[in-house]
Amino acid sequence: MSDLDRVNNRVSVARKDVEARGETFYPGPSRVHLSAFPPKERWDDWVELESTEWPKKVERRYMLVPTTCFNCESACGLLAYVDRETLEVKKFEGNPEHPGSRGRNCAKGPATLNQIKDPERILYPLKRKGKRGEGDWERVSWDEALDDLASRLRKALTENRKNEIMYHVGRPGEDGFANNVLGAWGVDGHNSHTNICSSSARVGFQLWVGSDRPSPDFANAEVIFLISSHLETGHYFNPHAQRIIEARERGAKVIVFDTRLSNTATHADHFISPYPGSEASINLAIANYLIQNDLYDSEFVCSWWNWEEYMRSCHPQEECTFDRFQVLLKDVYSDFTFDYAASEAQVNPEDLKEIAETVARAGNKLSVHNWRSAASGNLGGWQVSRSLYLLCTLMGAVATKGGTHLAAWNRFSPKPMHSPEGPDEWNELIWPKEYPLSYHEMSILLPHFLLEGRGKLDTYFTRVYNPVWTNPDGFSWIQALTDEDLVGMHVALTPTWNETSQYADYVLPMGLASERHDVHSYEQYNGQWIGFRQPVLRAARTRIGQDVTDTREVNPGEVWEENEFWMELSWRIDPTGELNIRKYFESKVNPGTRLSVDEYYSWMFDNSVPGLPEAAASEGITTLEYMRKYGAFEIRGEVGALYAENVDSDELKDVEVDKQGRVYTSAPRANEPHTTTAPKGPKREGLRCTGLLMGDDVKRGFPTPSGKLEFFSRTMVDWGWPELAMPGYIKSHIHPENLDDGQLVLLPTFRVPVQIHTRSGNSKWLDEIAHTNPLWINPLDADPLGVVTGDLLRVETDLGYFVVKAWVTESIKPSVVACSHHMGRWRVQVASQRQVTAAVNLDREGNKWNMRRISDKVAYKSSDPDTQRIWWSDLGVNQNLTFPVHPDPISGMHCWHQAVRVTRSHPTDRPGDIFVDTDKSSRIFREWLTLTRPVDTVSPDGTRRPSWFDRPGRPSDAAYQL
Amino acid sequence: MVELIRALGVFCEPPKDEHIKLAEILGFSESPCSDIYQEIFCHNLPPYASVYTSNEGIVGGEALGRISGFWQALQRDVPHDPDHLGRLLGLAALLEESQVSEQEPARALLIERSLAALFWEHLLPWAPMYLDRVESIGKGTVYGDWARLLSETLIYKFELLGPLEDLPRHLDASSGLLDPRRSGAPQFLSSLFAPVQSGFILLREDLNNLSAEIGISTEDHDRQGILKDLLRLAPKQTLEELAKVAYERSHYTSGKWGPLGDLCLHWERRAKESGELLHQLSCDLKEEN
Repeated sequence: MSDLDRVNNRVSVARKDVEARGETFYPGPSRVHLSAFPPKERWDDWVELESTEWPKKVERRYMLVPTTCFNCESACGLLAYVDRETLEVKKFEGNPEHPGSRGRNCAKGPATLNQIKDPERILYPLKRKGKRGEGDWERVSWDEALDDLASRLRKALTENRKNEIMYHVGRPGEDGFANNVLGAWGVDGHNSHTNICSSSARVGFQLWVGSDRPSPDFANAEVIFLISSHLETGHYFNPHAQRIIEARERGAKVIVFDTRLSNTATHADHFISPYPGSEASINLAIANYLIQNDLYDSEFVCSWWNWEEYMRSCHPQEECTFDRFQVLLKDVYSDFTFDYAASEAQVNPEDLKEIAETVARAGNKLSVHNWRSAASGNLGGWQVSRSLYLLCTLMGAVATKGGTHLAAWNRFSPKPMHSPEGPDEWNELIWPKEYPLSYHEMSILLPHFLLEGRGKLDTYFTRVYNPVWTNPDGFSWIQALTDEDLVGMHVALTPTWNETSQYADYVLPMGLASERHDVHSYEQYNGQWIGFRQPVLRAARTRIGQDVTDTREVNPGEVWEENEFWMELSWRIDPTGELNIRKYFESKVNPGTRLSVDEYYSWMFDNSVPGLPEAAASEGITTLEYMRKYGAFEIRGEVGALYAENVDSDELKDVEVDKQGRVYTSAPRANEPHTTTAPKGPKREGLRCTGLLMGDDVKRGFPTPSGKLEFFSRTMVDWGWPELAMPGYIKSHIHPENLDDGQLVLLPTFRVPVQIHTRSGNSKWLDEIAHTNPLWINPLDADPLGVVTGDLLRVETDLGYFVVKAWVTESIKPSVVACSHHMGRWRVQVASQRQVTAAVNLDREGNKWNMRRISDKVAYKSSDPDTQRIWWSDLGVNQNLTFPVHPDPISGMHCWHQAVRVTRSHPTDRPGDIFVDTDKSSRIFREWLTLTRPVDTVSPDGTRRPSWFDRPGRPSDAAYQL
Repeated sequence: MVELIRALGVFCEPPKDEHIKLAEILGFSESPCSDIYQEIFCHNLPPYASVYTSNEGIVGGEALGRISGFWQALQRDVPHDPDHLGRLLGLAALLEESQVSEQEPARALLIERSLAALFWEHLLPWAPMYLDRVESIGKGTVYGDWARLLSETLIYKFELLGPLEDLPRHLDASSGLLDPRRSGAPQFLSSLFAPVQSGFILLREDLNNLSAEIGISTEDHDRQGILKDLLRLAPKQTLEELAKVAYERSHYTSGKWGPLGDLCLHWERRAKESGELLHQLSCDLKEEN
């Protein structure tokens, strides 16, 4: 060993010793770290120079406290820089310890600073005075609000009006928390925004693999295939975007289908702009190419497709062999030639062939994604994701390195302390009979159900959700919300005012990203992690030795967090425990007292997160301290093809094997909270389905009824849709054949990267970048109208019209216009979020509604001098108000695309004008209902929904019975 | 050598408590000190490759772009000072670490070649002559010890990795010391302070020594100012003394840095050519007189 080797060893050993003590070996800001982040050993005391004091070098000392962003579902890691002297948050930057976001954020993350410092945010509980919607409010105490609500809820529960309690969520906080609260109350009241977002995409994936979301391993892919606007339309934008770019730099090819020339499209190797709704036809043409040319992984298809079930059902007279199946498969999509698909999509067939060739070269490193976009815009959009995943299953790119995994295997849901049984009732206001296969709740139809008398709501919570503005047909929402016979009490849990909270009875301020506790996990790569969102000032105070027992002690004003709110509310509903609710919120450490968030999470982290106790112990801290310190934990680096694993012999006892090869066992499920999979075969007394017999092995299989990839869906056959048993193509409601002369297609589904519906509206930085939503119109459509950019247009929908400024551009396909639904915020009474909401007059005559902006002035005086520097005045238009509901009869998805007429504006029109006739809303709602096949006419077994389909707040088996 | 390289990388940064511990572990005789750090790294020898390998001879010269490109080629985020010696040593440590942990042989080989390229293209073209000067003006301080240890380490690593085929193109492409008879006096002066052109690093200490040798005292200027004064007051002697400095550096380089092969030959030749030009300029003045 040379002298240099000896010195090197000395340094290595010294470093290990020092860092094992949690100390810093190399100086924090040293360049040798090659890192843009402060080293974690220095997060308790990090020094930066105060920029505003330049050129003087004034040091500020910070505690860096991790949390996660609240602005979209990605939950990217953030580090809050908490000034040690003032205990205020100075800024947010990325958290390098977060395995998903890896220290990077999109603009929305750091903009959290604006949101917490928003001078107009709601700081105290408010209760309405006067009539609902008049805008007259008084401040009340939390105790008053809690007692009032608890008493009301208790009454509804004891009077057996459980289905009159509803919780309607926009942006969920912690996975499953609200479901458990409702479960504790015995209420089937969970409602969500899913059917304006991803219902159709989910059905497409679920039918194949038993998991309703894909988890593409972009970083390792050879070919990335996106049917979306800008990198999955805003979901996991950041964590996925960075991995897509890395892959691209490594040489991976990117294919983008987007009717609009999006940012993502500009990075693509293959970009086509299909006619909206034709995407499935292209996917099937590509599949046909792979099949006809034998370019697919036949070994994989033979092993893992349920081709035998297909043969038995569709070709019972044929020999049930794989060879025969392969021959017949060539007929299934033979009509989907490139010429046909190109004709549907109005693109060049040669381009489609090139794309197919690229897909063929991917092998099993094909990563695909579709979430909103074409799936959410079109009738039958669920076939878009289904046909897209067909390509993965043909290529064997399922849970491979570089392939597309199941989200269920990459998300991790830690088991909480209590998991109440599901309610004994089924709520048809949320899960109506007409939509047994919906994924998930039929939230868009709630006002219609209420208005036609299907039920009423005693207490209705909207949680960071703004259906009046975000959903289609917002005026029907206002009609329902303002009727106190239909909605007895409306409680808005929200950090800011919005169009819906204006019609609430209580507005209760809930915390933002750095002001609340949540645990979550999302599928962002082939691995599992959990993230911890926390009130950063609570964590900061704890670091300096202060004890905090309630998040309101550290948040601005009396802003609270939902976990503590729900725990306290539930405790007050059932103070004595006689309703069997209190036990779920009772401390185990101090029986007789209410559970605290610290105990709740300590239990979860100690018992439900593999590897976390060991990681914490190695640093000599508790698991809660660990998560407060780092904000995230990676549970598993790689998950991979769980379906192909052998079932442990320990799990095989009293084994029975059915005709389909499904293996049943009497051995109990392993108690570890790890991820597993098994077929969802029919129930057998005393046994559970644990795998598939394949040769001599018992493999875990997929969580589908057959245990295999369901090319043929028995579920679709059994539940009334035999003609849709396989992936196929459904012509959209806006297919050219369904349009009248002169109509164009309006595409409203695209997001802007820096905004996220309502909740980013109080970020001045984001509003400065994006505050309006002009109508994208191709010159071929604009020229005949004599319209140039900036001119006003009137867009007529089936309900009415909206007036919008034109943006003439070749970035949108001719005969299609596009308008982002992120803009067009408005307010009637309460002055709030004035940098992004227009003050409007709202007139109603019968069921005819008119909205007009009152003033062009946006700048205003506040404690933030920047609000007087607001230079913009164009705030866009709330186009969604003019859209009728279009619920897909299978997925329940609101099919967003609209058939419209675009004309020059009328002489009296002004930007942002809206007119709607809600009589037409009702008519169109009933028209779309006729497309359904209600469960009482089709259920194969007398239940309301296939048991293997997920359902939030899953009720008891008895409740499933019709 | 991962941790040794990393540990050595932090010494060309402002000293903190961690430096004191590191100095002990590395066996240095003294502790780091802010004043001495400032004198060496701020006033005399900024630890940035662009100073010694750019024609401009200043921080942020054209070499910065070249080195940034190297970071990008490795698919790494380019830091704001990619050519700082600490950054480059940190990168070297990281590459070596990755090479050791890489399971796939082809990828491990690729990393090894990247490491070799880092040394050959971006460290060794300047670090040896730079460390020589640090050692000389930091004699008796922790930085003198540091420079010596880092020099040893660089040679050791180089001998393991081996040279690349060709001399780094930026060395070949740079002109030598500019001839004032063709390029003008200002350009000549600038190129004396661009080591990639002159073949040696000219410090204030050298100019002070030169002043003493000639017997002229100059005002306390920056280097260019001192040299202008000397050339104005005693041009022939100044040029002759400068020539001696250049020859001396050439000789020293060939003696110490022989193991670096073509790199050593390049610097030896470049400094020698500078010496020859300076000597000729001095002789021309005599002939004119």
